[in-house]
Amino acid sequence: MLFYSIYPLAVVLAEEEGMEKPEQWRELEVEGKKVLVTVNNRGEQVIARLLSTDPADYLDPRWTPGNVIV
Amino acid sequence: MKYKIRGRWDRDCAELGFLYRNNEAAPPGETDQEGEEAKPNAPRRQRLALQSLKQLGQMAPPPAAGTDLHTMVIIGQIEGHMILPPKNKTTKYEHIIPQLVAIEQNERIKGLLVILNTVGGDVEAGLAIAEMLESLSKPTVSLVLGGGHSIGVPIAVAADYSFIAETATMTIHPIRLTGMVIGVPQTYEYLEKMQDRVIKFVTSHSAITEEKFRELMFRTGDLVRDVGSVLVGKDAVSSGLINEIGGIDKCLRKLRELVQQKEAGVQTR
Repeated sequence: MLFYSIYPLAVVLAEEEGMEKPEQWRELEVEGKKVLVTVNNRGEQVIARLLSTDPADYLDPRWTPGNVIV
Repeated sequence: MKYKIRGRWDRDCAELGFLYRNNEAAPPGETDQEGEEAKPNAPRRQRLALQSLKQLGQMAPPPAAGTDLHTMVIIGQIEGHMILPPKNKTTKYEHIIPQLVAIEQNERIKGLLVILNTVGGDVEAGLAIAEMLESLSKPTVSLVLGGGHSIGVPIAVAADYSFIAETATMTIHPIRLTGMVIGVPQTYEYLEKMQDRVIKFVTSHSAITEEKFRELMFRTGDLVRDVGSVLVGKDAVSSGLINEIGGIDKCLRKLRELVQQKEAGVQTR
């Protein structure tokens, strides 16, 4: 792999020390929309990012980051 | 009332007392059972998610008009062959490419606005996104906001027309050697070949000349203890790399103009 970035590869790949557990990202499809969710300490799935190219989707309050699914 | 999706917005709405219905009051057509029957093959997790959305009983906003211009945000590191540690904010190749394919095929979508704020990333993934953007038959406009560095440069110039915010910067520097390569002349040649791919793409899709681009790439004294140069807003325009200084209004106006030109049958390239 060849990396072309202003950040040195060592910085990019360094695992941060003192971080208890890296955040778990999960991809989920909800109502036909792809969302990235993280799991909080109560085991709930929290919307972190909506993956859509339609700008109108971002106006839909259901996909607001921080909302909890299930 | 039973909420399964919670957020600040929900509370605001609940206080205002609109957009919400009680679960009991929902019409029979919107029960959970109905949702399950409608998608019998959907995976369990998706069914659960659907259920929770149904239980919420929240009305989706009406489909907004004028969403024929789609947008793609490329942020953080561009991730390709390797999954980066989770502290990195990344734009994933496997998310972007299918979206581009979908945009190309969807007749409702007329144009694409690409917003860049990237520090660079995987060479192959970056060039792949740039090539896909370049070969998209629909008009594309790019906007560099904050930063469009390293492999972000070919992506920015791949669009039909490019903008840069006045305060945004673009860093042009040679591809660096890392500790993972062996120190033989062949390595240097390989690196040079990779670099040439980037240089060729950039110079053939923007007004910058190869000499000028190479000069910027190998300039000394501009970056602290490094080779390369930083172009701020108007420097990027004056060097020919980017078409114009602008923001969201100019971008969308230009994109509309390109869409109209395309519809009128005028060649945009």
